[in-house]
Amino acid sequence: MITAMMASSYNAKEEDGHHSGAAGHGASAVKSRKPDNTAFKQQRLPAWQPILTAGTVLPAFFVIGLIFIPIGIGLYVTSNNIKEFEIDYTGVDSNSPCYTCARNFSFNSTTSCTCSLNFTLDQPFESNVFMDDSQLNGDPSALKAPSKECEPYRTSEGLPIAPCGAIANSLFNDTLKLYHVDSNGTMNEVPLVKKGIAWWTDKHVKFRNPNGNANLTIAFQGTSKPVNWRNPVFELDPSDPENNGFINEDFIVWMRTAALPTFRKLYRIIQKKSSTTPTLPSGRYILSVNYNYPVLSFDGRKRMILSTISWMGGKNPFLGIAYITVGSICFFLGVVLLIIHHKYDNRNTSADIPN
Amino acid sequence: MGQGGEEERRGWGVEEKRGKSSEGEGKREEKGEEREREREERAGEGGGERERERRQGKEREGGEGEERGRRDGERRREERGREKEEGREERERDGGREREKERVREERGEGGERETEERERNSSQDRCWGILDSQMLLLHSALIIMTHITPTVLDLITPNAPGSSSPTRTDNNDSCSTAEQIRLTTIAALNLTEWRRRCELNDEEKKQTINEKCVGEENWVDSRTIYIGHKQPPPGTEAFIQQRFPDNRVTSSKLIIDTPTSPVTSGLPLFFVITVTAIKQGYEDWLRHKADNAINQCPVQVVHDGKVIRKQSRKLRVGDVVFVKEDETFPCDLILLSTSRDDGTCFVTTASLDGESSHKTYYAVQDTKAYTTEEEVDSIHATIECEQPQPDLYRFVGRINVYMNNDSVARPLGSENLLLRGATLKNTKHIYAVAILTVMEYANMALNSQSPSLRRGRLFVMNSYLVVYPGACSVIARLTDLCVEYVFTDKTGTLTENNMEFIECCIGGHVYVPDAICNGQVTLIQILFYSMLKKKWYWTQRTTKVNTEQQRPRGAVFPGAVSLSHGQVKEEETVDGIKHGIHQGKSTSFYISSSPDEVALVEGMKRLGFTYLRLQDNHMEILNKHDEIERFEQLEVLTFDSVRRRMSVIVRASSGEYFLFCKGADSSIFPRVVAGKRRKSRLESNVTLCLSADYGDYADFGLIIDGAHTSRRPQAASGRLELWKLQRDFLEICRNCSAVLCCRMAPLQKAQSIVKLIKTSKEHPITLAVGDGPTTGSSAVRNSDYAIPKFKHLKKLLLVHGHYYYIRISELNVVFIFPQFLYQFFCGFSQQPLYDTAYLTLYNISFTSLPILAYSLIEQHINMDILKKDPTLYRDIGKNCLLRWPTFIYWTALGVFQAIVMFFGAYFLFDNTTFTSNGQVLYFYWPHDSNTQMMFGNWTFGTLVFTVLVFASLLSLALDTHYWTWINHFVIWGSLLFYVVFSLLWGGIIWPFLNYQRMYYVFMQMLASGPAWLSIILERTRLYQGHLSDFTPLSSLRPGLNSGSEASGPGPRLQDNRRSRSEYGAKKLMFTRWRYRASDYCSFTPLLPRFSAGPKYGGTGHEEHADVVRACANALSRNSP
Repeated sequence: MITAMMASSYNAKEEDGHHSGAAGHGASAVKSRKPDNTAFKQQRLPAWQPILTAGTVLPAFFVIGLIFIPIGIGLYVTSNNIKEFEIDYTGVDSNSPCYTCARNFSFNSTTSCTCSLNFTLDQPFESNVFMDDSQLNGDPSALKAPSKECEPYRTSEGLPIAPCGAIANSLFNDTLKLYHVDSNGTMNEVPLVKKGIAWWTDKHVKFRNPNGNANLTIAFQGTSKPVNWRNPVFELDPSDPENNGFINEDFIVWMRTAALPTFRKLYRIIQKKSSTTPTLPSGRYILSVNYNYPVLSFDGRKRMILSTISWMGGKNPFLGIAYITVGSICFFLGVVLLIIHHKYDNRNTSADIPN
Repeated sequence: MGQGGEEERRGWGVEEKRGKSSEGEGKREEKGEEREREREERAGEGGGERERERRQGKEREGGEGEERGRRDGERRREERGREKEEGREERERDGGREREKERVREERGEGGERETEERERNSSQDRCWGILDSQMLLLHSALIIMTHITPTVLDLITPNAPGSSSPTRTDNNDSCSTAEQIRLTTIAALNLTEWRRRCELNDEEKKQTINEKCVGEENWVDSRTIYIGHKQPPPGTEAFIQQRFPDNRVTSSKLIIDTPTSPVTSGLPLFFVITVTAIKQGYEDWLRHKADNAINQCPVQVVHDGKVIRKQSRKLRVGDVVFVKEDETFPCDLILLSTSRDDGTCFVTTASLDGESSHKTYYAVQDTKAYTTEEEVDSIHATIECEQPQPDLYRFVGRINVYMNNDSVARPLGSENLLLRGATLKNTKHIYAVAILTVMEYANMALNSQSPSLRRGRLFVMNSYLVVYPGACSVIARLTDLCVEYVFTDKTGTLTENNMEFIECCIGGHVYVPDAICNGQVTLIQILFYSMLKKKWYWTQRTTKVNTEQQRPRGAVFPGAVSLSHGQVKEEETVDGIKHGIHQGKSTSFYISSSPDEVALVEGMKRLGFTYLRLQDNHMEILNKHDEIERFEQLEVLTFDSVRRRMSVIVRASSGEYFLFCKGADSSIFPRVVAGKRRKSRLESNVTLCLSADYGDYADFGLIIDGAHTSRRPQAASGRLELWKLQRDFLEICRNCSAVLCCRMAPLQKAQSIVKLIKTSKEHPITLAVGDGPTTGSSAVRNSDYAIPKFKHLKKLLLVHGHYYYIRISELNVVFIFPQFLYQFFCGFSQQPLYDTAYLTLYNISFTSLPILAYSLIEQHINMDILKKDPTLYRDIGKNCLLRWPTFIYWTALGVFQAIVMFFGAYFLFDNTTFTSNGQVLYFYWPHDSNTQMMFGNWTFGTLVFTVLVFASLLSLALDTHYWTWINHFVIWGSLLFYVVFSLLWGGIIWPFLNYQRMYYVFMQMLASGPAWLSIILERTRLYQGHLSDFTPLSSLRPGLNSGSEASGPGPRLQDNRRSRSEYGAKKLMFTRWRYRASDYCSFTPLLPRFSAGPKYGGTGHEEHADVVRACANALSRNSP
């Protein structure tokens, strides 16, 4: 009976065992079920038991505060040193879209620095961010048969689209040019470097052209350009044959989808010339925009941002402020706790809590 | 293996054979006929098709030979099977049953002939359906959830496909007997009716196959027949065999996973959990199997062909005649046939079953007790009919038919003939008995039984829930119920550890205290003895000795009575050198008895000057005060049992006087006492219901329930309603008391009225019972959720492990998915996953599972000794405060807070900035590309958040860990390391088999960025700070709040600590305790009341035992005067 079985097993657990039938075969077969006398099973593992006392917590607060506040200040100063200049070139009048807007602006930068030219888009998030990574990696089969998740930008006119997907289809294709108007009134084009704006690994490992870089026209034969594109992918950069196909850096930058609906992407880099001459001397500049990318239909905004670059990237005071805040709170809490601790510590044995 | 064995085996797994039913008797037959009728009815509805077929079959039988006919016969059977099946469903729907019956009766005239024919054939199909049933379950189960369909022993019939003729099949019975036995453990889940419906939808041939096997009916007949020695009864006396069919009804469950991520992401954790559970269950099963094997393979001696042979106990079959020697345990339930004793009795102790260590007498069947040798026993020709096993150990009804010379004698069987498995044979050389219920069979029944009482077998049932749903929140807490709300303990023996001492006695109103002045001031009526537990706990041992026969001077008779009225000592005592001991004023000898109170009595009497020496030649010898040996001839001993509640000894003094000494519970003694009558009324008013208030400093109520009286009351209550009302009132009263003392309860009362009552109450509390063998606590134990053998274990179990357990499960982390939720606001609700799939999948499995597991296994926030020393610490735990809503909300709020910090931290970091770096850090790795700037995309964002999340989760757990063993270190830091390594690997390689590479180098790029690092550190610190601020202010505030009560409050404890620990350690511990007091116990419960209550608890903090016990004892001690 189950009761019997249960009872016998229950009996086996007893230490002093009330086995009346010692020779009973049922009882003798059951081993002792006492757990092993090991440190683990008996919960006696040697352990370090840190105890948070005022002696440890208060110094921790102070140390954190004292470390964080300088870091925060440093970050904030760095961030503030970064100069940014921003132009919204969306074009207000939707009836007459300006394709070439020239704007005059002045940019004061006396120091030598590397500057970046960024564009910022403010657009609703793309819901389908899928891209065919194998296709972009140069997989010939994926080139001809893109992943289904590229739909509805998978095939066009019966041919597979390369690169497929909505993201690629909406490639940012405005052309920005920067002219410096010198004292003579002549416009000198500021040299914009378009290499090195993408991740090194993206350009060299993740993105690859089919059949290497040899003759992209042939490599992309049998594929169709994305619907909204003007040129096929192998003609993205007519000036530099090395910068075409999937490894076009503008394309790579675009394909690294942004996290938030308002995002900023690197467009070009302005290299510093020498340590003495300012990269962008004071004066008037002209931004020439080849306006291809329509944003008005979805109430988007387009901006150009000229920014200096520091070690911590673009201008972002948040990190510095956050550090300062946290450091201050820590320090403040430390002080409060210290006061409380001393005021209410009426055991009046100062040795009680080793500070 | 005889024919009977085959019959038995078949009966286990499969539908009852209906072939025998026609010969059944009485009710059974009627039932069977009813079924037949219904079946016929269904057949009639089936229409003329069957009739036609039948006719065709007959024609073919005539024309084309037997083989063909048999095939058709099979078809017909299949048809019938299906129809019967339909009928069954119909019946289940309970539609117009009566009407059907009537029609059946009309049709009966026509169907009568068919009935017999088909009944015969039907028997084999019925047996077979279980097989296909299981197979179909496997085939159709859409989702496999672990459900055990019992290890069913099935007869596997040689496959006889319906289309293929099988000339080998000659007889239904034979085909089944050649079948091999299989044990089938099915893991499947499907609604039975559901798949039956599917059966019907299948195509014709399949339908036939299935329907042949699908037939089956539940047969709830509660009787069975056993053939002793597997000998069939003589023809004409055949008995009806009915056995309960295991009902493999299982339920299906549907699981819907709706998630923005891939099914793998959602499914893998679930799969993981299920796999782990399956492995765990499998392992447990394996262990159980091993243990079963050990028991199953121990040898049993069985009479076979007139010889005693050894057999493995698992091969024991119902009907085997078992040979058991003295001190052996019965391998299964047996009916005693004959014994080595002349009178056909044997003695059995059922200590392992119900804790009664006394010897019980069992009787052999009258007609078989003369068969005392193997050969004779083997020649017994008899069948036994008995009911199905009952949860009540002491109830058994059956009868045996003994066939002698074509003459059958029927004898009733009762529980006095039934030897229960697990009991032990005593004082009898050997017995022969027939197995009526083997372990295998029982397991079969118990597992399939609908009756919960039979299934209540495992003492420790752990429930583990792990909620894994990536779309909602992730609870990484292991909920294993060890939150005991009610503790039941046996008083005698358990609580006292059988450590009893004779304190005083009261005879006729005079109190006699050994070695003390008798002040005569206290008039103790019913309480004679206090047992003693560590010199603190006083319990009444309600034992009264009354001399009913004699009016001799009381002081003289009483000790003699006490000394003599012990039944058990006589058989098992060892008395060594008592005389020597006495004259030195010290006892060097000791008495041994199964009952500690008897020892206490005898020893107490010894101190009063009456020493029990020995039992010699049936004479008890007592050394009295004057060093004279008095001899009493022991005439009869009536042993104690829980029904009579008393024991009696009849002795004859040397003077020739006869004495009857009676010892027992007051409830059973007083009615028989002439002199004590006066005080009886007072006694009753005393013990019914007493409330004692004011224990310690807080009001507490203890309730005493007298079992002797409660047992009368339910009996008196006429209707069920009244009884129910009574129970409800009782429950209500019990709930309002912190401790309820139930005394003088019968075992059944303990089990039924107390434990069951509490357990079946609305809240379904978890109960724990303490009981050790010798007293009758086992009944309560069996009914409780948990059981521990000794009371002393309770302390550590509750105070230490219960506490730890609570702390361990109360860790909650809900931070994981909330950023994802927030992210949806920023990505246009596009279901864009924030985290990479791999991260989503592995978060619960790999990154955070082990640390929380280690935490849940080995966290000890407070030292064991302190917990043991201060039971008040358990109070808060006991009230479930760590898992109450406020705490849950607290954890949730904390998680949300953390998530917000993380998400918006990263958000502001990314917001409207390029968040680039000019590659200074990167320079070391890619010198040729020093000017690389980094754009961080959405995956970087998610990875950043995720990294912070993992770090934060692990580190907050690390902060909550107070007990750092190497395992904790290993898993926490190991998990961190694993995360980093995994991320490097996951992003460091172009994985060939994945169609996306979005994580490629994201992690590394992120690590290469200074701001990312800074943000990781920052946010972690922020969380750290959040954690610190949780408790630190409180811990600092606490001395202030408690300053007034410093002297009375922690004072004693502080001293305790100082005593046991170094100076520094004491302070540290003090501080820890405050902290816990203040924050971790109940972060949201008001602190002030607790603190103000602190001193009160502090005063009693040094007490050894839990409040329950204290209250009990207190109530009792208040009640007793």
